Amino acid sequence: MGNSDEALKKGNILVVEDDQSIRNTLKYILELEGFSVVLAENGKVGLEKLSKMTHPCLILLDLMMPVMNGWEFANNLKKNQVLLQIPIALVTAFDGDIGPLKNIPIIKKPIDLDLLLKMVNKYCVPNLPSPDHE
Amino acid sequence: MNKTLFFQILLVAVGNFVLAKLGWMFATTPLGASPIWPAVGFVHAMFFFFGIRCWPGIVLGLFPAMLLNHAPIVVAFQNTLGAVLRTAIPYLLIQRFGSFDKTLCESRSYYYYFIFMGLLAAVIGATFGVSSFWMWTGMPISQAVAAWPQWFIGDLLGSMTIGVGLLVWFGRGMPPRPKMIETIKLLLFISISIFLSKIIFYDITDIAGTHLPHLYITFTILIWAAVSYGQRGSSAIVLLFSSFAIHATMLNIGPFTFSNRSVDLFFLQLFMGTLCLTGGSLAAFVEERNRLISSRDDFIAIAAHELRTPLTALQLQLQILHRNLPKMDLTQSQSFSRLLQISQDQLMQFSSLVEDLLDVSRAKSGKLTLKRSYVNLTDLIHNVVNKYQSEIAESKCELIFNLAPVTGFWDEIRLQQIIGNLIANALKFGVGKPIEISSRIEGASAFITIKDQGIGIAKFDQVRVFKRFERAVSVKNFSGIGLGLYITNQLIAAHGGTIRVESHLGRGAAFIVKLPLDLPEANNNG
Repeated sequence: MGNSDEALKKGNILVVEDDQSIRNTLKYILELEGFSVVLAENGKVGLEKLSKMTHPCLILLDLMMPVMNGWEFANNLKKNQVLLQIPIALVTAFDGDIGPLKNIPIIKKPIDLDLLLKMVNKYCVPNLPSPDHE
Repeated sequence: MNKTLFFQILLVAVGNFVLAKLGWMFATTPLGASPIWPAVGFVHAMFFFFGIRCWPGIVLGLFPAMLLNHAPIVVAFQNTLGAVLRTAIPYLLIQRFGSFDKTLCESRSYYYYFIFMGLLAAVIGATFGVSSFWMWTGMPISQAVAAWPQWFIGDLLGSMTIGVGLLVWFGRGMPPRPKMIETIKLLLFISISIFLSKIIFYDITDIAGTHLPHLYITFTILIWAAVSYGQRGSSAIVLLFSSFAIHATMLNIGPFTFSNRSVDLFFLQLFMGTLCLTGGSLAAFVEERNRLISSRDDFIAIAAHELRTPLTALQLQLQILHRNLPKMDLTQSQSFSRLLQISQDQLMQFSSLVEDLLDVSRAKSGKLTLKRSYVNLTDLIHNVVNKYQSEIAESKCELIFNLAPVTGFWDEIRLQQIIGNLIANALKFGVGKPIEISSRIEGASAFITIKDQGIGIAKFDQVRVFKRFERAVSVKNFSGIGLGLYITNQLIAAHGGTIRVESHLGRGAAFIVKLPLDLPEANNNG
């Protein structure tokens, strides 16, 4: 894609989610709305992707995941002064006490699309004026 | 010998010596048989805690204790041998029951313990003990035979009170610190128990020539203990009442004072036996029920989460369609059809989850019926693997096949489910390392092995994973309804086969399925 790095900075979203279909659907809709999306299937992969990519404008984070769960992922971000600045929104079906993450905005599954896009638009600016796939 | 083993043997020896001395304190017959023989229960518990290797402690403790009690060497030797065997034999036998849980938190394990560590151990102990006196001290056989029941009940009570008590108190993790109100309830319970014991066993005046009816009161306390505090409560109350009963009887007061000493002891033993079996069974049922309720609650939470996942994707996809339908044009139609395809997959996943839930209730009510036909196992495995292509790609696990040509007379759909569940598990827990799927024929059975090199399963969990709603891993890290292996196990059992797991924590797991081929020709041979 022919975007400049400058544009990517504004509309780059990291989705950390273990369920493949939810992950792909989120990518689909966010790309349709003009954002660039990087996917990770768990917290560990998320951290790896973060170290290689331009810092995203938002991280959509699931909680219950294999290998490294959402709590551990968020904890790792806290250790890094730069990564600490990236806004996070939890996207989860977890009903219990989320403990130390309770101050982070949360989008409950099943996801309300309007709510999701509102959240995304609060932090990010689309870098593509119109959807364009493949 | 390493240090740990040394201290374990030392503990068993000292415990045996002290408890043997204690046992003789209650003894009233020249045989040395006591209404309760606590050393049996102690040794049983030590075997479960340390393993069979601590047996030399029995010899080091009991043999000198018997010599000091003026027993002839041969008698001491035979009794010591009996003491080793009465724990070792039942211990080895009970290990063969995969479902025996040494914390005795379910009724089945409690009854296994009763049959093997209680009855069988007491038969061995009493037979060795009584016959030693008959063989070496010139005791008449009639006297030896008459002493056998008391010895038997003494061993049985030792096992069922001290043994069960140690296992349930020290074989599990310590309970969380109770809250204020719980502490008050507990203190109240203890005070009432002690107060009533004093009345029942020491104070009550003789009304109708016997104190026995007052003993009924003990059961209210026992039931309170078992219902509120499970095995720990029940075993503590049994121990408390038994101690008071024995003490009072030795002082020649309380309910067990008749004209004849042996009648006293018989009624005392009867009372203690009834008490500990009633309390132990009730507590086991109460604990089992509590566990089922809490695992059912967990299950509802997990099932809701699992059902919500495909629903989330599905709902999101429909919202996208709804939102974008007005501006849809030809260039987008391809991606919309992809979206619809994904939605269909979601629905399939959703209905297979619902199907799983139904399978559980079918298995529970014995309504799993098989539609058997000739099945080529190799083709079937490849078909199943094809269905998991996207999961395989995602897991980065390489699949290695080592398949012998096998044809069986099985339910094809169910077998696909069995293989699919095992492959899905291997992919989920396989951490990207190779997975080996192999099959072979041995005798009249097919063996299918699915082996990963992933996180593995701890020994303790290896029995648990085949039960309903059980998962060996934390809910926070792995999704899954906890039904996969339970259903797999039930389906294999319906085919007359078995499944077992070989695994070490961190070093992968191999699930080995044994299925009888059940070819109709083969059946005619028998």
